[in-house]
Amino acid sequence: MKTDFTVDILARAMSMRLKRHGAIAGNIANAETPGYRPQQVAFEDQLQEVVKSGSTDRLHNMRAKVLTVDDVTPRQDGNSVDLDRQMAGLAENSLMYNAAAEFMARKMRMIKSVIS
Amino acid sequence: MDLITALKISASGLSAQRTRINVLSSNLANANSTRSADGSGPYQRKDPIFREIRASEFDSTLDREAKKLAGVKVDGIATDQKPGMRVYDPTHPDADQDGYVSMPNVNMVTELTDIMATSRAYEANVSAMSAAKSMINAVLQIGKG
Repeated sequence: MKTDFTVDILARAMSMRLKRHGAIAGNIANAETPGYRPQQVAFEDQLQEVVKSGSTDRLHNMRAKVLTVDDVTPRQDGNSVDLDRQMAGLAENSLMYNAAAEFMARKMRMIKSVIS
Repeated sequence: MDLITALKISASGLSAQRTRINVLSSNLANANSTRSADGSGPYQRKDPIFREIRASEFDSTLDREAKKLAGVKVDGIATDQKPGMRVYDPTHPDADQDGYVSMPNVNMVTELTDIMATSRAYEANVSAMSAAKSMINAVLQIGKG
């Protein structure tokens, strides 16, 4: 069965957001760990390209990149987490995730009303 | 990687910060203890050591990226070897021949500021956990009604 491309994209975006949430939660948990450097999940550019190409195959083969990026110059203990930046990222990410979930729910309601 | 992993990562942060606040409270409580539990001089302040752990330690899925995500744990509790203040009080039972008492190396101001930092860090982990919970709820709404 051929699924809707929008549903595929939303599902993929949500799984990337979920991964990003894991990275941010880890950064917050390690905000005081000596030598820890924050992880970042990058996917927006890739996702945008896939959406432009309209190819389901490319969508399924897409992988989020996990990068180590310092928020600030490492402190004396080698830790480079900026808690404020992580909290902002956390809020933004969970809002976007919830938005994607809402779109998905609406899409499902549309499909349902077509069926019945 | 699933939402439960995210909850576990935040939970590891909460547990580490809670341990830290316990250690700091014990430092504060013993700010005037001239006798340690093992009888070797005054109390010496303790410090928890945090270590990063891989999320794959509590998530067995074969997700390559999840292996890079990190939780935290308390790797050990170190004893601060810095010498404490020596106070002149010849009537004190623990005074030496010159009348000086060795006090614990606890500085109230340091401990209290550390407690505040710990409580902020704890709150940050709570926020991450509530965000994960709202995400779970949002996902459960899909396909409803």
